[in-house]
Parts: sequence; structure tokens; C-alpha cells
Amino acid sequence: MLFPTLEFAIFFTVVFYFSWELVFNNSYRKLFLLLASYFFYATLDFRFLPILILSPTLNFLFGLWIGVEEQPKIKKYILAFTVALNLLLLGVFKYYDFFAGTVVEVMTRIGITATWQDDVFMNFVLPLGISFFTFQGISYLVDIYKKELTYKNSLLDVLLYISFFPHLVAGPIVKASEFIPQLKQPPKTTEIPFLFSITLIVLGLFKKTVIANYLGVDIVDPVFENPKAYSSVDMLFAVYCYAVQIFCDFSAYTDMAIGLAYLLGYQFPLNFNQPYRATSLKDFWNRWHISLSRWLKEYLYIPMGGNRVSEKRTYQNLLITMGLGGLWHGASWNFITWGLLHGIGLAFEKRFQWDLQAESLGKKIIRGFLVFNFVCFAWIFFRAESFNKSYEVLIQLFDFSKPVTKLTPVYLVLFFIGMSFHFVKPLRSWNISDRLLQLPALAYAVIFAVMVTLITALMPEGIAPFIYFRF
Amino acid sequence: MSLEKSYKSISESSKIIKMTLVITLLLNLSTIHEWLQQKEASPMTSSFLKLTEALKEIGGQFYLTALREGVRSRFIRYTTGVAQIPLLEQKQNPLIPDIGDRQVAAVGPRSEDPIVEKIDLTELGLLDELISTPTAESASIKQKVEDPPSPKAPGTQKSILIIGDSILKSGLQEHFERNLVQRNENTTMEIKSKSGTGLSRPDVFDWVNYVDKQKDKYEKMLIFLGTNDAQSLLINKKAIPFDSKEWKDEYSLRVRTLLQKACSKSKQVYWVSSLRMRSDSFDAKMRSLHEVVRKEIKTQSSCAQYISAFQWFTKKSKYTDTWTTESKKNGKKTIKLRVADGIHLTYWGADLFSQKIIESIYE
Repeated sequence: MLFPTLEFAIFFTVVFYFSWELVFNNSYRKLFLLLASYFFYATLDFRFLPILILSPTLNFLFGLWIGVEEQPKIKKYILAFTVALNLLLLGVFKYYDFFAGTVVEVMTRIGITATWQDDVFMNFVLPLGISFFTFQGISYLVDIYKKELTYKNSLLDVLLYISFFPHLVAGPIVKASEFIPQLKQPPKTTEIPFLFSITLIVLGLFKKTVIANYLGVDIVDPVFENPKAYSSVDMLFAVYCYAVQIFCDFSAYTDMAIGLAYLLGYQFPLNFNQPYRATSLKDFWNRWHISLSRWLKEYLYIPMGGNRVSEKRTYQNLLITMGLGGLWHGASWNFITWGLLHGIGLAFEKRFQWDLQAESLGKKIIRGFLVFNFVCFAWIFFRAESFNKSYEVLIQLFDFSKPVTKLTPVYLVLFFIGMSFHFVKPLRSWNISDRLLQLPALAYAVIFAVMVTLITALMPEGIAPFIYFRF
Repeated sequence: MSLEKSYKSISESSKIIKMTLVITLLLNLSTIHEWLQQKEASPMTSSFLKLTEALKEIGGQFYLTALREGVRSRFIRYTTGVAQIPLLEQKQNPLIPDIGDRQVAAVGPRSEDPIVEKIDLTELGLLDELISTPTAESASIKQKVEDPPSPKAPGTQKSILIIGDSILKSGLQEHFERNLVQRNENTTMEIKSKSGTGLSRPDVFDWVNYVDKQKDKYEKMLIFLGTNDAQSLLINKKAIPFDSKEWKDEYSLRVRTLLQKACSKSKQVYWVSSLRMRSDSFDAKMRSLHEVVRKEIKTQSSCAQYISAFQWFTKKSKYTDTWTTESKKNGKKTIKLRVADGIHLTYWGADLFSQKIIESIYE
């Protein structure tokens, strides 16, 4: 059950109605939302539902232990142990086969063969959303350890925090200390940012089903599948289109997730803030997948020493953080390369102080152009299926012998619409006139219904899953 | 006031959501019907289908579905292949072969070993049709396709009957008309297509009954069914899972029944398989399903032939949604074969597919 489907619309309407009917009994409401979240997850992949219940339950128990333990040293050991346990769960499902494959390949290359080499692979199926709920589990433990959150939480709150369906499978990664306190009290029935939420959802629907879908299926997929068949111009267009596709796809998911959470009375953090307007890579990471960048910064980069160590160690910390950030996206050398490229870029920026604010407009434009192109260059490794394919894409950028077939007006228009979200006022800063606010309910309903109908008219048959579902 | 801070009460929000949902459903009655047609068979979906079919018709009468369908028909043609770009723009599009250069060959995607298949467009007169302004004749062809078959006197000799699902409906039938008319002026044909149908859901549309009720006799009959059949079959309120032995037995029986009726109405019957699908899992389902058809035709039918199209328009047996045409004057030009779903054909794709089928049955 993906967000932009009729099934989900029906599911959400039912959840919305009953959750507000139960608002006067917060425990029942939370229990209802938890069961709805499990139902949502089961429709996507019911096999891993036990993991989704077990992992947060263990984190709840370890959180209690960390909370009641008074000895700082023992507290630290418990935290280290429980974080390792969470990472082990993630590692087994997500990375075991990758590392086993790497070991086998290295052995084969240096001429060592063994009979067990073919039997080491486990071929695990990746539980949907495991990267997200594991990181949120770690956030729960660390926030208790840092005393940013009390350990006296109910199991129901912890289960709901991790399993809440709007952010369950593809984020944003919400910190325990900012979500669990929201669960303590029932939301106010008079303060629903309704128009903002619906606008976010409709906008997300448009970005995903129209822009990301068409650019992805018609331009990016065929070109990255068979780069040798396309000209330099097509290749460059496909790389830029992928930048727009992944932005529209992922930001659409989080826009919808934020809107849905708002409608149920909860607030999620901002996850995207016009990332391709960034004038430095540091700025880019403050605007792109903000909840992941923040997680990596607070739970990995700063605990390693951040930039309060020697210059050499700072660069090392940057590379490790970004390399692991790449690995978080998937068990492949392509993702690690993507992360390391950003790590190297950030280290260079720091070394030459390019990450400082540009003063003049001219400087901002030049820097913005360079940063955007660097980000697009790195996306090649992120999108290509293998290193060989990445290499083919790079070579093909310089093949001027073939005719241009993909750069057509309609896709150029879609590309520019996708980019235009970076150059209009962010939705959060929009103002609305009092007259518009006083419209009757029917008028709002007609406006929203026409907008949704126009989107269903424009969208292709069949919706591809969100890119970040894989991670 | 800031949009983010402009609050509504829950009762007002609830009211707007309910009204939005109702109006959206009304404006999307055809979408809901299409969505239900893709669902697994069950007594409940069957019952809902009847309801949505009726609602869709009522919605159509009151122009409720006009907004969606009007916008969609205008937008989709820009994204489903170059040949669907408005006719005036086609002349400037570099992908359209030059009108004066008629010897065009369809070749595989630009690759190390292109598969060259000669198609004589002079004979088929395709480009004239594509580039010229629509004429009264082409409009009448379209009208003919959309109209239900008119009752004919029993025993009238007709050339060809083509039946099928959305694969036939999305452009293919139009090209059959055109290409067959160009090939033989005396050809008369009936085309019946219905989206979302097959042999698994006779409650949606009963193809056996449709063929049985034909009063005409045909020279040839072409069948394009199966795309919607990779689903459980419902027998005596019991769902038989797709691809199980029971499923294959039951599907064989349905194929046999259809072929028996078809052979009583036509001298020759051709069952055309699917093309290679983008999704590997869906492609595997289609191959398994058509294997049942192939075996049935081989063992049980004397008048029917099976045309396997799985290898057509593939690159080393793999899916591709682009195809390169080659002409002496313009060199290689790539066209788009399939629409975004990796299943249906673009206007150009449907044209090439129809030509391949015509070659198979006439040569």
C-alpha cells in the first residue's frame, strides 16, 4: 500500500476518522494508531512484522536499563552493547551478503578457492524500512543516555514512535526526544494545520506521480540501463533528470509523511529545504535529507570528535561519517563511493574554507552551479547499478556521435518544473489571505478534488515504488 | 496569515476531507473501475465491478469523468512516443523518418549486433497516414473501431475478427485497420477490444460468449488475451492460485472452449502471445500462462496457431522500450516502443507490432 494509491486514501480516511473519535482517550488512540501502523506494514511485507515488534520492545527494555543505571561507566557499556545489537540486526539483513561477497571476491582474485565459498551467502530478504527503524531505535537509546529524554516511557509510546506509519518505511528519521513527548498528551482538536497539510500532500502527490515517475521511467531508467546507446547530450540530460527525480521522489514522500502526521496531530521535522540551491556541500547537507544528516552528525560525527580535534582527525571523521552514510543507503561499493565523494568534497571545502557563506550574488550563482554539478556527478555512482555502469555513463558523457533522442520538449518542461521547487518560496513561508481562509468547506473540497483529479489524469499507469523504500 | 499556522478545527477538517473524498471519487469514476478490474477475482470485487461499471456510465452521462479523461488524453500523447506528438510537430521531429525515404528497417537498440528486420513501408503506406492531416477516412476508421459491431445477416463472409484486451485497445487495433486496409482493399474486419479482460474473469467480460454469438464467418481470427489473467481463478467461490496445477487445468479448459468456438466461426485462428514485459516477474507469469495456451493449441486444436512474440523487439532476450529504425537517408532513429508501465505499446510500438503479426499470418 503505497501513499499515492486509492487503497492508501481509503486506509488513511478510516484511520483519520477513528483516531479523532478516540482523541478523548489517549491510550486507546495510540493503540489504534499502532495497530493501524502494523496493518500498513503488513500490507507491504507481513513477514517482518515480528522484527518490527521485537526490535523496539528490546530497545524499550534496554532504555529502561540505561535510565535506571547510576554508574556512568556501566551506562556507557550498556549503550555500546545495545547500539551494537541494533547495528548487528541491520548488518545481518543488509550487509552480510555484501561483505561475504567481497571476501569471496578478494580470495578468488588472489587465487584462493574453497569449497565453502558458494555456501556462505544467506540471500536474506531486506525487511522494509529496517534502516529507518533501526536508526530511530538507536536515537531512543542515545537520547535516554544523554538525558534528552526520560526513560519513563510506556512501551506503547516506544512502539508507536518507531512504527508510526507515516514515517515507518522511508523516514523522515524522527528523534525520540522530539516525538515521544508529543505522545504524552492527546493532540489539540482545534489546532490542525489542515490547509498546510493537504497542500503538502497534494504537492507531494504531484512531485512523485508526475515529475519523478515520468522522468524516471522514460528518461533515467532506459539511459542508465543501456548508456552506450545514448549520446552525450542525452546522457547529461539523464543525469540531471535523475537529480530531479530523486529529489521529487524522496521529498514527495516526506512531504506526504509530514502532511499525514500533521493531520493526525503530530509534527515531524523538515527533511528538505531546496537542496539544489546550496552554495556549498556543507550547505547541501543542511538542506538534503536533513533528518539523516542530523542523525549522522549527532550520533556519529560528534561522538567521534567532530571538528573539535586535530585537522587531520576532522577530515578522517568526515570521510568515515559520509562513507558510512553512503553504506546506510545500500550494501554496495557504489553507495560507499557516493558517500566518500561527498566526504572528500566536504573535507576540501573545510580545508580551503569554501564552506563559508558567499557574499555576492555572482559568487553564490557560481558556487551554486559548481555544487549542483558536483552533486549530480556523485549521483551517477548512486544511480548506476555497478561500477562498470558508472564508468560507461561517464564515458558516454563525451560521445558526441549519436543523435539526441531523449531531450524532448515535454521532458524538458517536466525537468524545469521539478527544478522550479527550488526557486519558489518554500511552502512553510506561504501566507494565506483571511478571505481565502474563510471559504466554505465545500469550496475547499472542490479545489482539492480538482487538484487530485488533475494529478490522476497526468500520472502514468502504475506507480513505481519510492526510491528510498529500498534503503 | 502563515499557511502553516492557519489552523482548522477537527470537525471542519473532517468535513472537508469527507467532501473532498466524495467529489474526487465522483470525478474519478472511470479510474476506480479500471483499478477494480486489476484486482484479484473474488465475489466481492465482482459485485463492486458491476456497481462501478454502472456508476461509470452514469458519471459519463453527466460529464463527471470528462475533466480527467480530457486532460489525460491530451497529456498522455506527449509522453507515449514520438508518433503521438501532434501531427504538425511530427514533421520537425528528427525521430520521424523522412517521407520520401520509404525503405525503413526496424533494428534492435543500438548495440553491438543489431537485429535487422526489413519492413516495407511503401507497401504499407504508413508514413503518409502518419504525417498527413487526419482525413475523413481516418476519422471514419476510428469511428468504426469504437462502435459496437453492427448486426449482420447470418453467413456473411468477412475476412478477419480480432479480439483482445487493453494491448489491442491501446493503438494496436488502429494499426491493424490501417495496415490491413493497405494490404488488401477487400479486407473487412471486426475488432473487439475490452480493457482489463481475459479468460480469468468471465464476470467482467465473457469472451467465449462473445465469439459464440458471432453471426459472421471469418477467414482469420486473432486473439490477444492473457495480459490480465495472471491471477487466481474463482471456481465455486474457491480461489485457485495462479500457476498451480489446478489453475493450469482450468485455464486450459477455458482456452480450449474459446478455441472450439473460434474454430467454428473462423477458418484459421491465431493466438498471439505477449511481448517481453519490463518486469521480470510479470514476464515469467506471462510465459507460464502462454505456455498453457501453446500446449493447448498444439495438442487440442486443429485450426489454431500459436504466435510466440516474446522474442520480438528484445535485446538479447531482454526487455527494451526503445527501438531503432534505420533508413538510408536518416540513418538510425530511435523510437519508443512501450509506455511507462512497460506493458502497453506506444503508437509507434503498436504499429511495428501489428506489422510483424501481419507478416506472420500472411507470409
